[in-house]
Amino acid sequence: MNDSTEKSSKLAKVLRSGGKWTLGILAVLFVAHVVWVNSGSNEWKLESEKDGIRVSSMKSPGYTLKKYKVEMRTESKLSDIVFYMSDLNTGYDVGASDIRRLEEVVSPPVFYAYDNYKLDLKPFGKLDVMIVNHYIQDPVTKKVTINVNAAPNKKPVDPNVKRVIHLSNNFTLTPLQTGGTDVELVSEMDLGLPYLMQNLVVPAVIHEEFGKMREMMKKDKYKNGKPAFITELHDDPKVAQAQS
Amino acid sequence: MKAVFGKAFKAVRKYFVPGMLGLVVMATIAHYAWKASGSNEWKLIKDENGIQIYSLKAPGSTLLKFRAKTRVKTSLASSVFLFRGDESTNDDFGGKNFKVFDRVETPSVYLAYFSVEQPMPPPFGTKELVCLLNYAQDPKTKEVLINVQAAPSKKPPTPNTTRVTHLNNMFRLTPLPNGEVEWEVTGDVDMGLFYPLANVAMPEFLFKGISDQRQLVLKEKYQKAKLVSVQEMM
Repeated sequence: MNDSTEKSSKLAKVLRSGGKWTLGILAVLFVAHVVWVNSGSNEWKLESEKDGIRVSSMKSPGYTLKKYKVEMRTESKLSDIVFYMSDLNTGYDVGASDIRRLEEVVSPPVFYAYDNYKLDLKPFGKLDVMIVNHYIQDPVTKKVTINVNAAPNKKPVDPNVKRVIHLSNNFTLTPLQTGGTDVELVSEMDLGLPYLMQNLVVPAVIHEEFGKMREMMKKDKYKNGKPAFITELHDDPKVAQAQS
Repeated sequence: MKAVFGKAFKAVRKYFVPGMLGLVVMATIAHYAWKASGSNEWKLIKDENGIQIYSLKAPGSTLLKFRAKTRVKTSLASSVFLFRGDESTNDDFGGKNFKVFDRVETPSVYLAYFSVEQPMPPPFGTKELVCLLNYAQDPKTKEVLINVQAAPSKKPPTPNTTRVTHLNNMFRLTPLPNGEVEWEVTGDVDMGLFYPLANVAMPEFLFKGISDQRQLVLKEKYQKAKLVSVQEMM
């Protein structure tokens, strides 16, 4: 009898001590989370610079996720890059599936399109991406801006695949006199992963994806693509002369 | 007295840890059960004064989506002008520093970005919205579907504000043969509030908003609106 009382009292002690530790850890995690959310300088900080690809990050107070800026110089023509970014079939080459264009509005100078596709984020499962792409070309400098934003309600949700609701990417494509193009991306998105993991993993992933994109654009199928609304620098001799 | 305090302190020491742990476990289970629930279908939750309010719970989301429907005897252009917003009408909506930029309007399309600051009750601080707003009128039915999407990376951050990153509102404005316009407003936004609070407060907020806007659209500044991008039904 005494033995069993002693045993249950020991068990209660262990449970109480375990409970205290669990509560303590939860409290520390909660404080760390609040401190992280409120931290941030709102300024770009260099994360990596190699192979001609520069990745910077920004932490803003009030956010758990970082934003990223990527800068890269390519030898590809402006129209090749725009073709690569606007052609639906490109998506299949970078691992997307079930790609659909739901709506397209071409009314110069406005061009926008609603696209839907699925991405497999192994081992976390599939993501359903529903976005609006807005393309703008500056008539003077020929610079192209592509704004990509999540439009999660454009189409009913597939209950089996998580839809991305926070995605805002801005590409700036600046044509160069040498024939190449400077590519800049300012990106923020929530992939639905734990934020600590996403913040740690994304800089390397973005670097890798930009490297792949640069190589892929050298392929014949992306060369001499003709997006309807783009003119090259050399199409306008006055601009070419002014920049030379 | 000392003995009473001593007993109370002992009881707190005895029950605090299991009590708190129990609460944490229950709150976690309730959160995940709520998140996983949902039929993905619109359900009517209020029908009063010609305004219907619907809600939709999607599995995987903690916030409900809301939809309001009503009919108003007014022009299509006045309805579009009300919902697309303008510097001249911002005082009617309570936001601060409303700015429209990169605006393009042609007979077949309207596209613009806007930013506005929304003061929130403490401890939330000011929320800033930076959004893309676009529509292209259906040339046959004359229906206008205004799409509003959060575009937080369009502008560098504004100090002392946090930006809304989840917003996709839609305004479907359908002209009817009897001279009325059917308004269908779908709201899906995360203003950073505690989600049970936002889910409870939103239906009444939306109902009141639509009630007020039905009166507002009848004011002269909306009634005299003529828009390049909107054609009335003949």
